[in-house]
Amino acid sequence: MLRESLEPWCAAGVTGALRILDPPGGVVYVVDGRVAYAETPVASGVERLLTASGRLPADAWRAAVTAGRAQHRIGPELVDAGLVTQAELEALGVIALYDAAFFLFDLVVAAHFEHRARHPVGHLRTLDLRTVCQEVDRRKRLLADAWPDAAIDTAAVLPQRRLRSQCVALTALQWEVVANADRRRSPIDLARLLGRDTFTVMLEVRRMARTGLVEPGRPGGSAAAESVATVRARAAAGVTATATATAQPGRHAKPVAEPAPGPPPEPPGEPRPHVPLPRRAVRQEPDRRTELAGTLDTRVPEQILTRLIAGLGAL
Amino acid sequence: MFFRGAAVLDIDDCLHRLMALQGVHGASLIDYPSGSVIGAAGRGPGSRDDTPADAVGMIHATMQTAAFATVGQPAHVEDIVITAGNGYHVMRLLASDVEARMVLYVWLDRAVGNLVMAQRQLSVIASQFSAN
Repeated sequence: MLRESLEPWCAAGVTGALRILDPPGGVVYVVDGRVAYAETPVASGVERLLTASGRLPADAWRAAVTAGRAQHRIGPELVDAGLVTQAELEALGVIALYDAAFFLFDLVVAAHFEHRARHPVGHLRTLDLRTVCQEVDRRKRLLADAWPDAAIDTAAVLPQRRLRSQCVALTALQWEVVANADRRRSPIDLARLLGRDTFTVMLEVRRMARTGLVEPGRPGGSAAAESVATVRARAAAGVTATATATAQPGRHAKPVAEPAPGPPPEPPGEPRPHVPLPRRAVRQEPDRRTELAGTLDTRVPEQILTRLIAGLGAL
Repeated sequence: MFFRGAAVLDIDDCLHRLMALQGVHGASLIDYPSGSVIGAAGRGPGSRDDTPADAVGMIHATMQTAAFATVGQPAHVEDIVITAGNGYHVMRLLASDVEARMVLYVWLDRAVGNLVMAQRQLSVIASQFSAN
């Protein structure tokens, strides 16, 4: 999983970016071994949180990008212009980071690390990798508790046309969701439209579904919603394939690899070490097979990364 | 502007200022819709995991109680104070232009802490948190 591929980089205290090559795509930025920022097209980044929410005019953001992009100073440009405070920017940065990490951290994807790559927004609050992982797990639990079926996140939000009760209380965010639900938009589309973080909108929609205020409709048509649905279906297919594969021991190595297509990760400029075969024997332990099947693809890069870091340390 | 000198205020500054209060045990900045901790200093009451969830639950309850929320501006709650055996718990809602999603939380010692000073400091930080 992606969070495991991040471990050696964070442990080594390097600065750079882990770029995800498979869909949905995204980048995790690491500064001195701490997670500084993460982004993916399916989550709301700092730009969306600032402009689509109406907090900043889009022109002001564009001006800051023009002025500060090359020097990685978009954030300081905004702060110097008095448009946002550093505290506000940092808070939005953490929200955007958690939002992207929610979608990215449990993916089994090909990724490759770019040394010294930095995000153009500039310095934001950095977090410990473990803190981010704990937060991602907490968010998964919260969503599952509110409404167990994840298909609701990519399905059109249908507010009930008529309620059985006499009175209903909504939070401001729930109101925004209901007022902007056009019976086609999914929670992911609504978050983008409103400039809210995707997790919070998904959570509020699930909570409203639980109280019977909205119901999931047909799967949403937008590219972002489709991308999330596809990635999730593939992850689920990977788990099922593993389950059937482990039922027939001895030939389970091949079917596991199939449901996760995509190019193998290539560490640039370094020769690929041999994949140690004894690893395969470990995977046959019955109690750990589901967990390890998911990590199959990352085992290889992780080892390469650990070796690379050992090599770099020696230099 | 009166506070112009302290314009570059980051989250650590906010937390340091709160931790400088008399009798403070811990302070944190919580994103209230998602229940995520954006930054924390000092310690929280009980296990660390539960504090933001409890604070968020408290704010939810207050906001949904019409009698508290509709005095003055519609649904305008400034802060929530809980006086408990283990101290004062103050939750200050930050009102930004568009949305009020951040909450500053301070846990004060009951014997040594000064509730009014804490509320005053929270107001000052709240006014500087978002650029107008």
